[in-house]
Amino acid sequence: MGVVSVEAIYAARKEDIVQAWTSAIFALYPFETTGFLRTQKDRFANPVGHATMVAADTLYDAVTGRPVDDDQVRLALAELIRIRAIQDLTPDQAVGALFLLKPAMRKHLLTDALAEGALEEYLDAESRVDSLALMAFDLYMADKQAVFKGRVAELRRRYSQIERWVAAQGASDLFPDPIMQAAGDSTPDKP
Amino acid sequence: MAKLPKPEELMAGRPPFPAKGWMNTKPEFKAGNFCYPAKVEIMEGMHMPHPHEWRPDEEDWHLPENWEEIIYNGLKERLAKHRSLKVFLDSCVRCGACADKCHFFIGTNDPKNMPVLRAELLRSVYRKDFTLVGKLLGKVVGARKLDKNVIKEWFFYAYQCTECRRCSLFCPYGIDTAEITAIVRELLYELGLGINWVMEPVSNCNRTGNHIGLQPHALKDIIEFLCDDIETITGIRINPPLNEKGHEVLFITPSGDVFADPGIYTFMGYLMLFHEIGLDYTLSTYASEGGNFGSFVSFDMAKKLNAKMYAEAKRLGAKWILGGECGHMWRVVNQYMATYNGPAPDNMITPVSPITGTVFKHAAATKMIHIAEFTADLIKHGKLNLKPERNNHIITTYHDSCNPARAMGLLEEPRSILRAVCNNFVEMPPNTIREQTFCCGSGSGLNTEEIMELRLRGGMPRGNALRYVQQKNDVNWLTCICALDRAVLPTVANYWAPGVTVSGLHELVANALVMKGEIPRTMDLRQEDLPEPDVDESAASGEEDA
Repeated sequence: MGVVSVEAIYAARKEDIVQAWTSAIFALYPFETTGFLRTQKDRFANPVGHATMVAADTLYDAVTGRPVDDDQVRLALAELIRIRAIQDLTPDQAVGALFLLKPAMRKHLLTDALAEGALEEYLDAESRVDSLALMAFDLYMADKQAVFKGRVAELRRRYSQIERWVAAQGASDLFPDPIMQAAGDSTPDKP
Repeated sequence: MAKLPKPEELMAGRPPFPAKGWMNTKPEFKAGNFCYPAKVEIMEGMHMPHPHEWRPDEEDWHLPENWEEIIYNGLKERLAKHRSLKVFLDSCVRCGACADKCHFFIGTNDPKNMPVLRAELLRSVYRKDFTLVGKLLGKVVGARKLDKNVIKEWFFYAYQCTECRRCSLFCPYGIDTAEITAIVRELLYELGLGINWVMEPVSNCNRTGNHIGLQPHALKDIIEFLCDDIETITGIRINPPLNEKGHEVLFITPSGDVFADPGIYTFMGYLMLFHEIGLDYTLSTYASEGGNFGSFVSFDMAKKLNAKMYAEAKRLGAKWILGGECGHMWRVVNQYMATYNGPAPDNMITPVSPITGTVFKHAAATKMIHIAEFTADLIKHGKLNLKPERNNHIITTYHDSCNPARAMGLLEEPRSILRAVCNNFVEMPPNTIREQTFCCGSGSGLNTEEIMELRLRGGMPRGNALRYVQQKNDVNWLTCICALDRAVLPTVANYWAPGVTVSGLHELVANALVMKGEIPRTMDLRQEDLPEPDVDESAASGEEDA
């Protein structure tokens, strides 16, 4: 069993697998939109498609065990999840897009990996998909938190001078403290 | 009992070829994807038709009994009144040039947010009832019968359009989908269907003069607070005239600049600038709102609210109106004001800068100019003493607010000001700025927080371009010339490009403005320390002497 040859298989199949994976993700969107997401290559005209494809490319390398920069993996995943967290998707659809990599890997990789006697390496790769899903869950929750904090912070900004005026009238208790404190904490805590 | 599905089955992607076409796909109303309905008492107070209790997420919207007749007559009346509407409804060939240009489509990936399809929601009904071919052939030519689900669909998608008009830029026929959205919203209001975030500001504006319903004494107090802040920063006391007769200029800005962060810093910037150049102006509590949420209700409501500007200019005897940094205010002023409420009162003249003598001939009809035009002219003539290095810690990019950019072509003036007051100015990518600018995602009365995720979807293309320059050029600031932008872009930036601060243009102008008699500046308008505070020359020379 040669590790080198498994790596060669991973590399050779990358294009097919990444394409199958992103296509599966795009197929979660309405029929009329899927083609646009797949074909519009301008990153500003199609940020969803772009972020998905960039993430798929980086994450495939991470999953297949190539040496990767942790920050870069996290960043690619964060950009993908940041979009999916607010796209009116159910939480399983938002995060579960990562699991759509597994069927693609099984179709394009599993047989050859077994032929090379590299079952363990293959299973490791699938387990890394699970790791990404766990990371994605953290990111998803942080994004949702950011939305909620954003709502409160915006309210506070909106009435900042009214609050000041009310305080000058000696009626600050009209603005309950806990909400104001929560709103004051608008420090971004995302990558 | 069944086997637990695998992830790809659990997530239930759509079938490869959906059985239902768009006409039979209904929107799902759920908390967070619709705006709250207008309160009944507010609708009644504004004499709106058919005020009633209803909820978008309930099956029965309690429409008036003759709702079909109301829509039919309403559409008929508007087709006769607006020739443009008929042309827009007839001339679309569904080429799709607009389809992927809408920020809501790009962010939601919902096909009905393609401007062509959003317009088709009305067009299909028009075709059925108002065209012979539609009457005869029905669905074959894309015509459909009006039913209550169509009304719901109109509501759902008319409030996922910010009337930014990016789509119309790409339409070979120049079809203005924003105008179609405006008409659909008008028709919905005929049935008593409106949103509170728009109607309450309209009502407040109508009654007390500004969106939040701030009464004159409170407005005066708050302006004084801001003057206190200016004094702390510059050592100069400003007492802006309020409701005074006999001044040359009436200054009207969106009220958000007075009461909301970060707009207040822009407002302080205006006051500092006017003080420095000795402008003969007054503010007004009656016309204390530049924004016009009436334009998100109906043309008539827009006209009603807009009328205050001329009425106040006449009452106070102002010669011309200077307008603050606002977005849709300028759509109304530039495109509709002259026909809504014109001609301007007799006491008014074509605006002329008292400092440079420049005559703003393009405003001969409205007698009203944008402060970016005014300030750019001052800077061009070298009338301001500026220290752009005070903004050296800022690497800014510029967001073209949709209405000033697309509805009045205000592209160069803000940029020339920005270059004069800030040493680090970076443009976002070309297909996201100027005429092609992406909306903040919350315009046209959608800046309410109950639809925050929807707004973040709409703001995604802008946020995405911002993040690009943040990563590539270390941009840490976003300047804009719209009060609504200043209210919502901090939220958009915090989500899509955390770490970028949002401000108006005149905040940066006033940071850089050297005022006669000011103390050495150690802080910016937000009262944050300047990284390079002014050198106190008197103290420095005193030390040397000793």
